Amino acid sequence: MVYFDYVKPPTLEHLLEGLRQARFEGAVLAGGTDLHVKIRSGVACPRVVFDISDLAPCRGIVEQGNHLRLGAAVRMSEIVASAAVRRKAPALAAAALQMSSRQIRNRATLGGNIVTASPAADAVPPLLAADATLVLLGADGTREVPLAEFLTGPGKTCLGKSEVLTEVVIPSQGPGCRSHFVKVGRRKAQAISIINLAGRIDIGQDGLVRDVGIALGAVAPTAMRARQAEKALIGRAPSAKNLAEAAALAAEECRPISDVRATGSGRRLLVEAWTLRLLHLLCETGGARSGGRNS
Amino acid sequence: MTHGNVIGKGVPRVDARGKVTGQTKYAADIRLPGMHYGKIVFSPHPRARVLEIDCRAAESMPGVRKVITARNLPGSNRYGYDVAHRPVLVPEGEETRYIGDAVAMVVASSEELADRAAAAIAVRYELLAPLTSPRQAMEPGAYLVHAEAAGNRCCLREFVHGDVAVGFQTSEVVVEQTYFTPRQEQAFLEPESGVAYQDDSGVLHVISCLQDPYGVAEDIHLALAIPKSRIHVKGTPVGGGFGGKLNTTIQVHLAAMACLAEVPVMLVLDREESFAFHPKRHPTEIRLKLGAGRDGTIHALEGDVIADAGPYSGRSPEVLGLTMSALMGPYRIPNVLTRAEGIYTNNLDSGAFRGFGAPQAAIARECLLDKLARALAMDPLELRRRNFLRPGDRPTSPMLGDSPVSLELLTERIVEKLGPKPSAPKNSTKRIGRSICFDMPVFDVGAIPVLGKSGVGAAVEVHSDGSVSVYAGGTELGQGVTTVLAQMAAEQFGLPMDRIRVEMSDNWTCPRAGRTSASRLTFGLGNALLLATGRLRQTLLVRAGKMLEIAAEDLVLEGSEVRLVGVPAKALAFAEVAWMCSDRGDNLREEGWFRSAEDRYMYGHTFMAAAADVAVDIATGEIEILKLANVLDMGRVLNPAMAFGQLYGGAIQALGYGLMENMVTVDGQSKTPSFAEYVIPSALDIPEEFVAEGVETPYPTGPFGAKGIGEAALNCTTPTLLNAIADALGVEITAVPIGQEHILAAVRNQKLM
Repeated sequence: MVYFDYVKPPTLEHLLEGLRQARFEGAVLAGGTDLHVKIRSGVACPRVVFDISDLAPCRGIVEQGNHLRLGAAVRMSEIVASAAVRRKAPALAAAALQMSSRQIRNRATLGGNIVTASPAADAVPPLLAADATLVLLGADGTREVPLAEFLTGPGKTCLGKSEVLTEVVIPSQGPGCRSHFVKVGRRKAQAISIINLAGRIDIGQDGLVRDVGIALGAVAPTAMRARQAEKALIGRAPSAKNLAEAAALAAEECRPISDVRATGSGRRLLVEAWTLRLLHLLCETGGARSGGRNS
Repeated sequence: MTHGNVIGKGVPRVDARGKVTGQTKYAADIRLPGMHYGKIVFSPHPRARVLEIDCRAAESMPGVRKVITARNLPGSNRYGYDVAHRPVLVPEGEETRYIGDAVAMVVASSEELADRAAAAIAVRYELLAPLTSPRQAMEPGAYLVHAEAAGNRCCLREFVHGDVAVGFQTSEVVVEQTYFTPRQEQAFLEPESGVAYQDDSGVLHVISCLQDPYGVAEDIHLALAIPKSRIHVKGTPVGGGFGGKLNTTIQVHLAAMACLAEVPVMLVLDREESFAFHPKRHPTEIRLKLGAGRDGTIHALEGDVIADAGPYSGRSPEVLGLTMSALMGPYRIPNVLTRAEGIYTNNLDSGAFRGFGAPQAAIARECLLDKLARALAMDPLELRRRNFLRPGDRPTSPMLGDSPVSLELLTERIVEKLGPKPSAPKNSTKRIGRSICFDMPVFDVGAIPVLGKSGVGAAVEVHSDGSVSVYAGGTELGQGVTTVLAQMAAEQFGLPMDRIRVEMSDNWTCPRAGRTSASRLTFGLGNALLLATGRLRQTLLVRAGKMLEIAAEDLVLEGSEVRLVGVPAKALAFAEVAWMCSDRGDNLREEGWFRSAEDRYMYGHTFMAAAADVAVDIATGEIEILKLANVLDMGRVLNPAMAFGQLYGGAIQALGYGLMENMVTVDGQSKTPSFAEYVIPSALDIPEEFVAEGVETPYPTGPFGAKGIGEAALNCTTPTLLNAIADALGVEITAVPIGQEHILAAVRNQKLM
């Protein structure tokens, strides 16, 4: 058991000051669904915990022009319930819905899911596929960092010790853009993903792929974009053959490890099969929202 | 005997209200005056020599009442079922054998202080290389987990019937395969927990969740040299056991804490400790060979089982005895040679788990039967039917029984339940598969040379107000035995359920009833109860006869009265008769003792059929269970609601066993230390159509004709799912659990896409 002080800072300024004073022994608590586990297992042993779960600047979901801005302390259940997210980032809404259980979704936050930097984090592939950026606040003011650069390894990010993630910004998606999310777990709910993936596609009037984003989770040290697969699709027709080729490239470029959930080679098979299914779903007419299935 | 009043009815569980409202007190809910908290220091290393245990820092911490190492313990410091070779605490100079071995214990005034003190105990270890696979452990020159166990052999069980060499010579088709089954965790919700204290007369009271209060008393006596007459063990309502609490869990440690700290102590393991500590389902490697004639008649079966027994013997010889015996299933096989070997390792411990070694055997047997069917180009159901045991046959097994064979009836019923085989939508990547499998799960009837200590007692007392107490030493694990016993007593006395109270799981108040395992309580305790109630009925009828001046034979007990048959007006209230018995000095407490004859009828068999329809998507590897059905011959269904609950629960555990569960160890360390990593089925994983059915073939040996069903549904549901998947894809499955990625690999290997 670990014992620590608990502080609920009233403003971002108080939070930053607190983090500075705590030096390297402070931790930010948003939902706590990861932090408590880390504290219990000894991975984290903070002296002070700063609770930002009610901190106003970290709490809203705002449509700003064509952008969507989500506060870091927005809960998964709020994402699920948000019409704006369902409309502008359906893959993210699908990922939030499939994450863990209702109880956890009522606590777990978007910011927490990103900062924990688990390669298997479900909210990350939809954001990565959508080229999301993060707003980081530190003593020297704010900086905006692309999500792809923020994640540097399993459990590792470029977040400074006295910095906090305050907002996630999803850039505007074209009007014809569709997105999907798929989670593969060992059971149909409450399972850490064996793999997860998200895609968005924009098909022009000419029927050719104008833009595509494919993000894969749990198959590399961080969630990753399948750049080779994307490259193979841009400017081409989304034919069955081309989609299959892209899926094979995605399987080739991922770098999965073997762990208790699956072997590396098993994950590669799943990436190919589900990337193909994901691309087919994206190119089908109609439904923009993905179910995503578990085994 | 009249019955039908409450027997056979889905009457509500007697413990339902408490459990639904949260009023039921589990072991961890108990609070005693002056209660302290215990904490065990477990070895973090599967194999290490304990060089030094330094308790000084912990001893001087505030609130610490006692720090205990092997030096402080009275008695032998050894306990364990089968072989008493498990140390309570590993002493300095000795080696640990797995990560569930304890080296020290603390008793402190709060949980927090106990945690802190435990963390302050400094143990120096010399790390040694652990043995982590049975194959490695069997190699000549391998270090011995127990010096006296050559070749690290924990047990070897063999069964010979006929002559397999001749059987294979006369076979026209021979198939053989090696199957691998995983380590399955019982995944009960309530961790090992309890309280203990010594009273002012020197009696040690241990109140804990357990499956065998008598076995616990035995182990406490063995380890701590306390006379059995001064050990009182009381079981609390159990939040899941499934065999994981069959052996003594923390009770010896708890007893030592209470005696040495001289205060009441509570001990509750956390989830990681619990997962590391208790024995699981044996992982096995099973090589099985079947020989048959072209017509499908099986001539010979040869099986060889190698199981990871973990660090201690425990139930391994019994479990593997059942694996060896269950390889033949409900089939006629003239020539058999089976052997099962348990091998010591430094992995997690192996022991009892619902099914008790038979589920592993069922996987190998039923999967190989499908392979044989493919080799013969024969319908797998037809192959099985040709080899069914027939009425009057003795089982091809050392576990003989007296249950009527009802396989054809089960076949008829399960085929009817299944209906026509569904077809996949056109242009779909889904493939449909179907399988029907059979088994004959055993339940313990009484006199079993293999298991020993199998007699069962129950006491019944009619109070002077006409209410009834039943004392039955088995344990309520959630299976509903308390309710079933109350139903039996209510039926026997013609009383409503609320006049019966059942006291269970207490080595002082209840006659010896042994362990709660082997699906034996309804059967064994039920029979003991009927013997006791039979004698009491006689006492009551004779007394009522005297009061009414009517022959006792003409009276019946029904409607809370003693009535003259056919003349409702001629009756006495049950309570009035009970009062008169009491007044006149009749004995109103009887004990029944049940055991079967020693030389025969050792087991009952609950014949069963399981069937599944699955859809497998060859593009994604997804497995969808369209329909899962179990049909069991339960003899007599005493309480349908609870009986079917057992069947559904067993089938879900079997589904997890086949499709998702595996307690993985690497270098003796658990890679699935909690429910975050160890995945069991959720409500969403339950098949769309989920059928459980009972057929009733009268079973005269059973109380009201009932059989044991607690474990049965688990047994052949797993191979049924595996065979249905194999049928959908035309592939062979030889290792479980099987997930999406394994399906995709099989699809790729077979070039199905």
